[in-house]
Amino acid sequence: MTAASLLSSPEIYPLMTTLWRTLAAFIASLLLAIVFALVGQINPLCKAVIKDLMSFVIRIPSIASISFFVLLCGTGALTIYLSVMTVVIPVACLGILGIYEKINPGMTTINRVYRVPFVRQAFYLYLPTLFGSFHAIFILSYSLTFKALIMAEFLGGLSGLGYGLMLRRETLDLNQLSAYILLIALAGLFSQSVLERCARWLTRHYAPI
Amino acid sequence: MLQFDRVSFSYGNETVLDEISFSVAKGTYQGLIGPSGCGKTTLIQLTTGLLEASRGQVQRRFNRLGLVCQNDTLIEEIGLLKNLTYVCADKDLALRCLELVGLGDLPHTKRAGALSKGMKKRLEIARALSVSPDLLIMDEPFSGLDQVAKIALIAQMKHFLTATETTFWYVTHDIDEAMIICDDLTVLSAKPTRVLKRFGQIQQADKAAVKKQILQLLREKSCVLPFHQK
Repeated sequence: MTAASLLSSPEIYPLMTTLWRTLAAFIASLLLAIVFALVGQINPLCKAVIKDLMSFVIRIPSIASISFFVLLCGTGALTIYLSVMTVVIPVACLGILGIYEKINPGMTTINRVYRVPFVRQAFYLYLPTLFGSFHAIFILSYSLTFKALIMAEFLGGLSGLGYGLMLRRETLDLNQLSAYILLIALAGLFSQSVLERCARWLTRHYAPI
Repeated sequence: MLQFDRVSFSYGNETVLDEISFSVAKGTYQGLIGPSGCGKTTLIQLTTGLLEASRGQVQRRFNRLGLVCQNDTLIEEIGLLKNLTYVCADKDLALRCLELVGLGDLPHTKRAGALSKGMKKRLEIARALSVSPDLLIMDEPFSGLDQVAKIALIAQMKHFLTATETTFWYVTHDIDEAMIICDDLTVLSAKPTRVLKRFGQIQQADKAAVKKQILQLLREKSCVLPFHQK
């Protein structure tokens, strides 16, 4: 198969749509999770509130959140993004909070004795600590984003691999459906591998010792 | 500069400190000796304001406090210089402090986590000095260091403290270390901790006799001391 025939294939558009959406939803979810986790470090009350909130949201089944957003916003990209973020943010946020609980408790003393401003704590202490143990959360969050996104496209989308899967299910052709599932799994694996390499390169200065 | 006036502190029902009274005068090198687990670190936390006394008063008359903790308190993922600028805004002063503790030759971006234990302690000392403290508190800073590194660091510390006229409060369970560094010593008992005795202006010639007295005092109170000091 030549590159030209691959690019002209009817499957390339939904594939690119899904990969783009996955990347956008993943980055947005991760950034918001980091913000929530950082806010949780301000004081024990903030931490307790954020932990309880995330523990509550994580228990909402993804099918329930998709149904909710379909009724709220209709089918389309917005529903997909909101559904995916509802699934991914709590997982990533609780993971990051777990990393922060392993931070040397002596640093709390240092922060208070030297009256280190919170912004400086965030940039010098919390973010570098996060990058040191980032990869486990990164892989888990990305896999979850991809799976949640396919499901959201299946139930509430008008394009993408998940939507294509729904159309193929309607044909009742098992071979075609199997090939499509294989395409989805390969797309997830390949995109995760590329993204993982990019993340390792970006956080190379913070690699674990 | 720092005064404990009949200070008591309890963790729940357990009384840790029982009517502790002593002071750290400006410009002096004070030592606080007590058996392991007697509440020395609790006294430091009362000084820093991290804990509040159950009874009595802690009078703090200092502006800037430098603290070197017993355990490692560095951000291992960031560089040497960033560990200092984390607490001190003056980059030039931070660089001077790195020089002072003998870490000036290392790349400033070298991660703190990649340093040896002795170097980490030096970096913590540099961080404490980089805030130009009125009062420098060191809580068993040399535990886990070998004898050579310990002696070298103590010599550098004394040099700096003399040059900057910094008040110094040294907390340890090691009598020998305290005798090398400090002029005045306060000896604490085991829990519930009380002040057993204070030794002021110890002269070089008297140090052996003072050490003997301290050991005798602690033995009488059945305090557990590190093996090499028995």
